[in-house]
Amino acid sequence: MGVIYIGDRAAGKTHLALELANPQSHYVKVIAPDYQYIKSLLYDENLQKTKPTEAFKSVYDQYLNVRVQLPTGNKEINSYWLDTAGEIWRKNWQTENNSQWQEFLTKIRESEGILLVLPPYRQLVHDQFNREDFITQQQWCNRFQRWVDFFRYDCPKIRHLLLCLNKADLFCNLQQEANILGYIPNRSHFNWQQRNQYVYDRYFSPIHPQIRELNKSISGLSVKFFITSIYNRSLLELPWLYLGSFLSK
Amino acid sequence: MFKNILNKLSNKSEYVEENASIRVIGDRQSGKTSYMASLAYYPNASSDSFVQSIIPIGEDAENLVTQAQNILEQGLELEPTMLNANIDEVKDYTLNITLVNQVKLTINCKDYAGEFFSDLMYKIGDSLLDDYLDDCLQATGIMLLIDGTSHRKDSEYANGLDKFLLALNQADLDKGKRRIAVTFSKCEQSELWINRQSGEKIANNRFPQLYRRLQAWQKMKIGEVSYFTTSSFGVLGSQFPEPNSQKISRGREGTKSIIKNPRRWRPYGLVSPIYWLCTGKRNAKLEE
Repeated sequence: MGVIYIGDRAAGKTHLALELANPQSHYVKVIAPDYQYIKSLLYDENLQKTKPTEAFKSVYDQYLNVRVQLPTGNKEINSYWLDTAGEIWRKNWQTENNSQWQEFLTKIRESEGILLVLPPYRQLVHDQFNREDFITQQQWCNRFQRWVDFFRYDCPKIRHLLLCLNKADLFCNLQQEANILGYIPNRSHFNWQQRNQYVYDRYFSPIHPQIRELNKSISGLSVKFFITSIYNRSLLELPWLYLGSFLSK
Repeated sequence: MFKNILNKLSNKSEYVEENASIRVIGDRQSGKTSYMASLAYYPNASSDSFVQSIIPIGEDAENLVTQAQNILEQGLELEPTMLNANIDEVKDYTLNITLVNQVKLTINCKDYAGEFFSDLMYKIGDSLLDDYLDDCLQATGIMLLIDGTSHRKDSEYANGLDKFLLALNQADLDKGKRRIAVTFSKCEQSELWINRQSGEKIANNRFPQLYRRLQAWQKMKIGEVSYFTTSSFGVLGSQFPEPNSQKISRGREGTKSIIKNPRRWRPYGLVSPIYWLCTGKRNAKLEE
């Protein structure tokens, strides 16, 4: 049991996890591993960026213990973050590496919640950035459809799916969005329902049909929407605050 | 100070204690867990309320209170309760309810997954379903929770109930009369709120098939039925009451909503069906 933090390579998961562990936190704190340890593991001081995840491993996992401060006290979330290379979605790879594939499936099926980190698509990214570095909206939708199929057929019991559209600094005014969406106990501008609707309408419109399909096909599933960025603590913490409310311990 | 304690102790014996073992059944999204969580938390109890206190006992019941605070109060929906693979894993909540008239109700309450009731409606001969039914037969009281706005499912409920009553009939008859408290939830919705003191009228008008089945069962003198209305969230204002809930969706399945103003969260009618299940009598004070 626990939470799975997942996404394709280059979605920005490593940097997100590293930043989440930054001790300057509001309501969400990574208690293990320690920030310096994660940094040494993931950050290349010379290149001033996170190290690319080891390419020879198809599935790469790392443990993360997160403490969330909620109205009734603290909750601890055990989470694993999994990097998945493109090849694991190929039937070939799954057959040839059956034990690894099964292990991956078991981990996902046993998890109480899944945080899926998605990169932005080209059309969404502001034009001062190099848009060519990002996949097109159509590619993005196609890729998401594969996730939908994966959840539908391989994880029919999934309860909480949190879609985090990452690198929000590339496509929105972070501070402005954080002011609206941020969490302040008992004084938030939006409640959770409003937050979710706002992000869903504004940033996830290309995949609305897929979301409807997902909701229809998995009974009891709750899909929620977030935008995240390593440059904004408020937005970064929201998915964890949401999850913390539901997890039992 | 000692005198006070002694007084309290001697008063304690004056309490009339009633208890019941209850199973809460109902379709998916009928609001069973919200009902239980609101009951365990009992927010913003009014000082002139007939219910003096509700104390959750044990870890499961305490978890319900934190769920109410972390989830419901923050404007989130509770997750659907899963149908456990094993009936013994179903959470058993214990609550101590003290009323102003010196009555103390202790209830053990199991909140079944909505899947149980939908399986009753559509499945036959499932061993897990049989385990659940067997467990249900151990209860002294059954609360059938129905989303008052899901009247379009009347005939499905009636069919599910048929199977359920049949199983009850086939069980040990020495147990005495069984009580079924039919409780309409989500009564903060204006169409139900105006009839909140006429639960039976709601049953007759909106769920005629279900109502007929239950009345026929009662006539056979093997059980008693009574009708109640509740709202886990309550209403805002007294002169022109409006639901203290924000609708997320409304369909054939009923209404899905979250709380609108947690600071003014005051549930309605939660204890009334429990009182009846424990004592066999209704108490008008709990339905005000």
